[in-house]
Amino acid sequence: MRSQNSLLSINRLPLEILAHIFDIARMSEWETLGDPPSGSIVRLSLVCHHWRQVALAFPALWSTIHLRDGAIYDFQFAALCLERSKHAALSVVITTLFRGVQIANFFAPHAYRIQEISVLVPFKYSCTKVPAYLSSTCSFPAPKLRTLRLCTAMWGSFDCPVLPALFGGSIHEVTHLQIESFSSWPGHTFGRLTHLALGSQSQYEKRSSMEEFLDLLEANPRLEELLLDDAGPGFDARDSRPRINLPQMRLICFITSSSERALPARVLSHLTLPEECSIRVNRDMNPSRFDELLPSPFPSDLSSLAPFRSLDKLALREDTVEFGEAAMRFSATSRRSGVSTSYRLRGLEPWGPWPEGALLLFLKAIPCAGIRRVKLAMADTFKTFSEDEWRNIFDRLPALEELTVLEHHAPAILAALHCRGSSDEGGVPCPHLSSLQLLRTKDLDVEELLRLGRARASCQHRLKHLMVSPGTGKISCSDHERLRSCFDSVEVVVTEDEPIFEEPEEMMRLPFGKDISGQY
Amino acid sequence: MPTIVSVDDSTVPGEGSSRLLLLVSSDNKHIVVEEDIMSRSRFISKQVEGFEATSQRHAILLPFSSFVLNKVIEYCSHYRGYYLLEDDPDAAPPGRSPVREWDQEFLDVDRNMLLRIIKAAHYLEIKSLVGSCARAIADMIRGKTTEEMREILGVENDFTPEEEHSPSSKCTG
Repeated sequence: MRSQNSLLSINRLPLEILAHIFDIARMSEWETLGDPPSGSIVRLSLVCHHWRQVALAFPALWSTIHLRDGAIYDFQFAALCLERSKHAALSVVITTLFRGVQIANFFAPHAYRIQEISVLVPFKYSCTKVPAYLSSTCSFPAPKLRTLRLCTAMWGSFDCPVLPALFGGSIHEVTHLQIESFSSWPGHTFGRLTHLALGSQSQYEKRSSMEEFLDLLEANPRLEELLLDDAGPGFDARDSRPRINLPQMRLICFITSSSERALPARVLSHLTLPEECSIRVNRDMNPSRFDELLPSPFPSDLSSLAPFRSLDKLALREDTVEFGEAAMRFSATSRRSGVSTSYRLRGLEPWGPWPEGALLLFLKAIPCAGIRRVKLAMADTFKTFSEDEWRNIFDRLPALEELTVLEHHAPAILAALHCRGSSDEGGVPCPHLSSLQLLRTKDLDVEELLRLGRARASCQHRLKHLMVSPGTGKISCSDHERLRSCFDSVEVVVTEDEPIFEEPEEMMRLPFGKDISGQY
Repeated sequence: MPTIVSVDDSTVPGEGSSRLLLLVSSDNKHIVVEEDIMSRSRFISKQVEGFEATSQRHAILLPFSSFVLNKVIEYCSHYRGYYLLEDDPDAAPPGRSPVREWDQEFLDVDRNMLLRIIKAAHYLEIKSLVGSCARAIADMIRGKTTEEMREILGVENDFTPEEEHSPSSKCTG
C-alpha cells in the first residue's frame, strides 16, 4: 500500500512543495475556521506515512503554539510542538484570560526563538482585567519578537486604557504591531515598524492626539501598512507641521464609523505617499442621513499623494466584500496601486438615493481626467438611473476608452452615450470611447445599439469594438450583420462567468490587523 | 537539468520588440514565445543569460507536456509586465500567498492538472504560480478530517498498526 501511495501525483511533488501546501492549509484553517495550526498539522500527518515524514521533516510546520481558554491539555500538546519545532522561530497564540503566570513560565525557556505573539482575548472576557493579565502573561523577555498582536476588547473599561509595560519594555525590534483598545503605550518605543494596526479605540476622548500619532508615524519611516479600524488620533495637529514622508508605504486602510468620517482626509493631509501606495476607506453608512456622506474621504490637496496621479481605471461595484463585510465599493486604480471608498452595508440594501451622492462625491474627490477604463456593476443600485444621471457620470470621464457594463438596464446608459452636437461644444460624451462591452444586460435593444453606433459614427466618434452578452432575449445572425455595419468588430458571447475585476493586490487583500479575523 | 539543443535560425521566427524563445515540451511540441512573457520564470531567465554568453540561439527542452506548458504560458501572458512580489528575486518573500481573483478562475481545473501545473511552476521557478497552486490544493483539504483528505486525494491509509497507535498520533490539538 505504501508503494501504491508513492505513485500518486500528490506524493511525487517535491517535498518542500508538499510542506508548503501543508503550511498554507494549516494557516488558512486558522484564519477561516479558527482551528489551531498545530492541530491541523497533526491531522495532515495522519493521512499516510509519506505525509507524516514530510510533516516531521519540516519543524516550522509545528511552530505555532496555541494556548486556549480552559484547555489544560494544551500544555502537553504545546510541549510536543515545542519539541517537534526544534529550533524554528515560534509563533505563540494565547486565547485565554487565565493562567498568565503559568504561561509566562512555560514559554520563558524558549523565549529566544519567539518571533510572534498574539494575545487574542475572547470577547466574553472583555473586561478591565485585561491590562493586569497582559502584565502577568507577557512578563518574560522576548528579544527576537517581531510581531505583536494584542486583540483585547475592553468594553467594560471606562478608564483611560494604557498599555502596561510588556516583556520588560524591550520590544523595540517589533516590526508588526497590532493593538486594540489601548490608545497609549508609555514606556514602549517603536522605531522599526513596517506594519501598524490600531483598532477598537472606542473612547474618542481618550485617544491620542494627532500630534502624538504623527510623531509615531515620523519615528517609523519604514512603514509599509497602516490600518486604523475604528481607531486613530484626534484632530488637533498644527496645519503648519511638515508632511511626513512614508516612502515605503504600500497600503493605508481606514475603517471608520459615522462619527469619525473626517478622519481619513485629516490623516492623509499630513502625509507624503509614494505612487505604489493604495488607500482604502471603508465607512459606515446610515442611509437616512445624507449628510453622513460628507466630508470627502480624501483631502482636497492631493499634491503629496502620488497614488492619485496615475489612476486610469474605475470599478463601481455593489456586490463586494470589503474587510469581511458586505459592501458597496468605488475604486480607481492604476497598474500598481489605487484608491477606494466603500460603504459597509450591514444588512442594508445598496439602493436608495444615497449611493448616487456617494459616487459623485468619490468622482469629485479623485482626478477623473485620466480614467480610460470603467467597469460598472451596480445594476440594482442604479436601476432607476435616468439618461441624465448617467450623462452626469459620463461627463466626468472625458478620457474614457473602454466601458464594461454588467447586468444593468441598457437603454438609459446607451441613450446617455449618444452625441448631442459637436465634440467642440461638449456634445459628445466620452469622445474617446472605442470599446463597449455589455454583459448580461437587461432590456437590450438592437435598434438602440444601432442608433448609438450610427450617431457616434456620424459625428466622427465611431465605436470600434462591441461585445454583447445578452441577458434577456438574443441577437440573431441578421442583427449581428447589421451591428457590424456600425462597429468595426462585434462579438456576441454567451457567458455565465463573472467578469474579472482585476486590481492591484493591495486593493483586494486583507491588511495586517484584519488577516486573522474569526479565530478567537 | 534540461537538455539544451542548438536550433537552426529558421526555426525561430524573426525578432520583434521582444526576443523569441523556442520551448520544446516533453511531447515534442515546439512553442515559440516572447522572452518578455517568460521572464517571470527564474529558470528561463537563467537559461537566456546562458545563451547570451554563447551568442547562440537555443531551444529549451522542458520535462512536461505542451498542455501543461501552454497553461503556464497563459499564466505568464496574463501577468506580463505585472509586478508580483513573490516573483521579485530581490524582495523579501511574502508571509503567505495572496489570493488573486484571476488565478482562482485559471486554476479551476481537475486535481491532476493542478498537480502538473505546480510541478511545472516549481521547475520553472515561478514562485507566484507555485503559491497560487499550493493555495488551490490546500483549499481542497482545508477543514477536512484525515479520512476525508484521503478520499479527496485517493491516498490509502498505509500506517502499520504500531504507527497508528503511537501516542503522538493521538495528539490532535
